[in-house]
Amino acid sequence: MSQVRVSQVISITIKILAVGLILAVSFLPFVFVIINSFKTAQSFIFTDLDTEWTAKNYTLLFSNFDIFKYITNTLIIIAIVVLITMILSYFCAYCLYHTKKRFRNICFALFVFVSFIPMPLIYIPLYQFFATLRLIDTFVPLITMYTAAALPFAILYYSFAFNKIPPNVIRSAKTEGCNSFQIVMKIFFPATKNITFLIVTLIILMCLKDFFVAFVFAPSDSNRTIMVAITFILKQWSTTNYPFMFAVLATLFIPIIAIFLLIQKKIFAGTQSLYTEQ
Amino acid sequence: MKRFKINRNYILPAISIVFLTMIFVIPFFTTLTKSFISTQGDSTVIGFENYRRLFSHAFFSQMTCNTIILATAVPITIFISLWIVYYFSNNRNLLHLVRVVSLIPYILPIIVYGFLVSYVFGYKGSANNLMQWLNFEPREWLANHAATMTIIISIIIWASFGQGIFIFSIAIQNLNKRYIQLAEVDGCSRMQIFFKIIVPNIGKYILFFSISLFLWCITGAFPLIQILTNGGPGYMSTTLDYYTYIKAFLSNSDYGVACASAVVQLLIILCFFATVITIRVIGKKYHVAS
Repeated sequence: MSQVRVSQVISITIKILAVGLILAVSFLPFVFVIINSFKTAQSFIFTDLDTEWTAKNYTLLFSNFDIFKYITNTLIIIAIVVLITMILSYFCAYCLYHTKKRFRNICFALFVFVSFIPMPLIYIPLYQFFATLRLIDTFVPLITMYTAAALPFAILYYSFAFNKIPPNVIRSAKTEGCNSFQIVMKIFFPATKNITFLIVTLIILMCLKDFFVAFVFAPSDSNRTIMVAITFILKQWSTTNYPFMFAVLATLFIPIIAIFLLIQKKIFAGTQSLYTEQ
Repeated sequence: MKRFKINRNYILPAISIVFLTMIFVIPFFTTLTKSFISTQGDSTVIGFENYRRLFSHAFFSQMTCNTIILATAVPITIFISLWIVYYFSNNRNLLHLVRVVSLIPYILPIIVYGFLVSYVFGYKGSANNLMQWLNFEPREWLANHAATMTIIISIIIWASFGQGIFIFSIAIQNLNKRYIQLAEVDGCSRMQIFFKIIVPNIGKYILFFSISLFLWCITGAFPLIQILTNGGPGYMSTTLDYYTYIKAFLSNSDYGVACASAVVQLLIILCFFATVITIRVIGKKYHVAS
């Protein structure tokens, strides 16, 4: 009897330790960054001095660099990509739902193949192509490539979601006299709300996280996205002033983590409805 | 004469297929052909000259090794995330907590890790503070080849184990609970259940995750290397995808050699695909769980 208890206590302890370890790996570095971003460079390096807490690093970032311009650039790109992709993929998936199965399967195979082509294999010809059109250093190549990267998985996800709608519902709606527009608005749209949310989140995340495409195709100062701009800023400053670097990183990741924690329930609901096999 | 009528359901899919072909498929084949064409002035077919130039680079074997070494992150990540999911699988709330928390490293942009680690392993960073506290000499971590590779691999694991937990938790939820219960009744240990029931039954999820992670390791380490070492010292920590960028856009650029090095990456990826498919086929033929 007592042995059972001892082993239970051990297993619970291990479980708590494991959760603690995961929490530490995921949170501690960022907590460390946030705390140290309020120190001055001197008090951070010479730990025997009295630490003085200051928000100078943040004011330095927002006064010396045009950070809002970069944020606006990123938001413009994200907005256009999301708009184009959502409209195109939604109606494309709706059309595919009504086509022959053979054509549909060929399309899906192409989408999967396309989404596995890695970036180094395509960017050199694309760079030359956009260079001949004089479109390098504008938003056009970024928007085109992000849309192309987002389109396959958006269509695939929507197709999966549409296939889960029972065909009897659609058939009975038709007998009741719905036209196809009403079917889209009243059956397909409500049934795929979670998926839409998930896809929008994934597209925003993809555009936000991307470094390479923005770095290669829009490097000049007025067109930089936030990631590239921060990289350029920190490459010059971080070797001397670590707390400033932490402040920049904190301004970058605090909004992302906060928004993620706010919407995580909806994301998981979306994946649940997408992947659960009946 | 009957008028040819297009079914309007085929218009939008056709448009998106043409668009994707323009952005992905045509450049893909252009890269393949460009690696056989001279791009210095005249564009003549020069056979394997670009490849000869690439292979005769003094650090070519070093770069290829670096690229392949990064792929060791794949099995480690899969094992860690699968084990965590299995460990928490009988407690739903805890599993959800772990899933949410471990996704945070995944959603953050990769440059955050780059700069964070460049501080930690810099000369005045935490790692050297620890070394001094333990009475060792401080050292330049990022000038050391083995240390740099280990650091980049651990960043990849750190940034992607959350995605693994996410995918595998869905996989284990879809798994029929009866299998595990039956195995428990028959007296399997947790280890045996893990290796003989869980792993074989969620094979397709593991396959998907390992392929996407492998592609990322081979072709996506660019931002990390750009931030941490710039490929240095010399070409010590350059991978093939970073070399492709160097050859395409930096000093004495040569698109031919850049395309050739991109094709070498493609060959590495194809080798991996061939291995995976062989394992699957052999496993099915002899009814071995794979």
